[in-house]
Amino acid sequence: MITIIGGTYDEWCLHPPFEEKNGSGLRACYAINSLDKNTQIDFHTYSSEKTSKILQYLESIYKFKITKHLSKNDISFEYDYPLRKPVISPRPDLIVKPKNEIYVEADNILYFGMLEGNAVAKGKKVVYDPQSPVKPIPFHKTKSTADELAVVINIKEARQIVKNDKLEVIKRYFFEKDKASVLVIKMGPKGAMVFLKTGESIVIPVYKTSYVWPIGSGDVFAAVFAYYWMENGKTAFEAAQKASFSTAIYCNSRNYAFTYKKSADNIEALNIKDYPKGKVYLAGPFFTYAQKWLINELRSSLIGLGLNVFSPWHDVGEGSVEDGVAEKDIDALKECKIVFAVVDGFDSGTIFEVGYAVKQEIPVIAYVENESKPSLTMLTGTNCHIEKDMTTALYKCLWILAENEQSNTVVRGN
Amino acid sequence: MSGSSGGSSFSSGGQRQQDCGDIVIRTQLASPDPEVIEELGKGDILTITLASATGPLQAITNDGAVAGAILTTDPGLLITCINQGYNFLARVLEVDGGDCKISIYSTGK
Repeated sequence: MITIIGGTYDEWCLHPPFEEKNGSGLRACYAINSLDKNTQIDFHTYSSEKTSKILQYLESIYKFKITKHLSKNDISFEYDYPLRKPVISPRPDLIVKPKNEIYVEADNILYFGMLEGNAVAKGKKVVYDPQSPVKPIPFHKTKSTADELAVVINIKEARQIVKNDKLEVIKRYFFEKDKASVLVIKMGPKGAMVFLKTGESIVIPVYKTSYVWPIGSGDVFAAVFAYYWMENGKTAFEAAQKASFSTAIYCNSRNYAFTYKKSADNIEALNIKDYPKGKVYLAGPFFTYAQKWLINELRSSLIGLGLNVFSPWHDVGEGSVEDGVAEKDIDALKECKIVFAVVDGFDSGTIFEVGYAVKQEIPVIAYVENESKPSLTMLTGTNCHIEKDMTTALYKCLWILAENEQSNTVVRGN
Repeated sequence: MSGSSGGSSFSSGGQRQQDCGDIVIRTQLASPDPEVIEELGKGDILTITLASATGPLQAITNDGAVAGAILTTDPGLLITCINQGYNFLARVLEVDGGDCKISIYSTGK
């Protein structure tokens, strides 16, 4: 049996359209249920009266035992697109705190931090993921205890809690203050690192997928890790490896069909030792508000993935032929290692830049949602990477750039 | 999950009142049966039924197999409509990697 403590929240995404009742806690229930339908799941969550009715409905579909701790909030995470920071509604500082904390005592507990309030967990084996976008709380400050604790945390939250960027300081904090025996640090596109208190460590790779759906991927990682480490008797290293692969399946499909035989198709390991140094040339029109908004978002997302970006609009600006804009853009293009092009609408400047890049043998990611296949013949025929989904296109930009840099390093090393 | 705070909802649904006959919901099957959905293709029609008066909502193939359950942010709306006598079908939009996207619509009473 696994006891899960975590949030139940509405999640909405504008594009691609998505509307589901999830949250870290509920998503973990789905993930573990999909791994092993015989594992009994005991789920504790804060929920409003409205959400409680939906949870009651879920109990008719799944074999979850759900303890609903009454809360006045219906909380939602609202994304414009999956890589954008969500708007949380109501604003976290306006969330009404429930009168009572959740208290749970069990053998195996997966505990996610929640926006509504604290939970006190007492377990033999506990996996703790702080999961707070606002103020992550370390395990020991929740007043919880564990005979054996694994902290699963993303690097940004770890730095926020420890108030230090150095890995050695972060490790010491969680091993000494939280008394963790296992520390899993999720590093985003660079994979994850698993440290044991005894001193051993390994790096867990990320996986390349044909589609990328990142919303909830951290929840899935923690859930699968918890299942294998607490319920299935795997070591922390084995559990983290399985968690990473299952997370890739989730990102690739948006579902939890981890054991379905075809789920592993189109997934391959990728070792990114460091973020690529080469620049991305961001090609796309910026004449209207909508176009400017998109270019600005793409630039922010690429930077968020750890990439260096040249954006003609941001780095050269709007100008005329007399201002030498074309020359400045082309000079920059020659220095870039990949082009990310917004192709919808076939802006002449963008198509010129794509053609120039192809001639220079610079790889091109063509993000295009709404053009016909025949109209893309020249791009397809010159090996441009045509991608309809924005998030997937952004990740592919990172992967291709990273792989090209690493293969270049190998060649020079030989 | 990580995020910023503030702002107002752009809510795409859930709050507005809807007539049972006008409901169209795009979603994906929850707890899908891989062996059943493997046999499905784009355009196939599933029947939405209630396993009991309170749920779960299920998507059934022409052969009577349960393809999966229906999970929306407001399952109560569909349950109420079915209990009022409305019938619902679902058109398969896409079957991909164990995942089945559907569009649920009413065929009236």
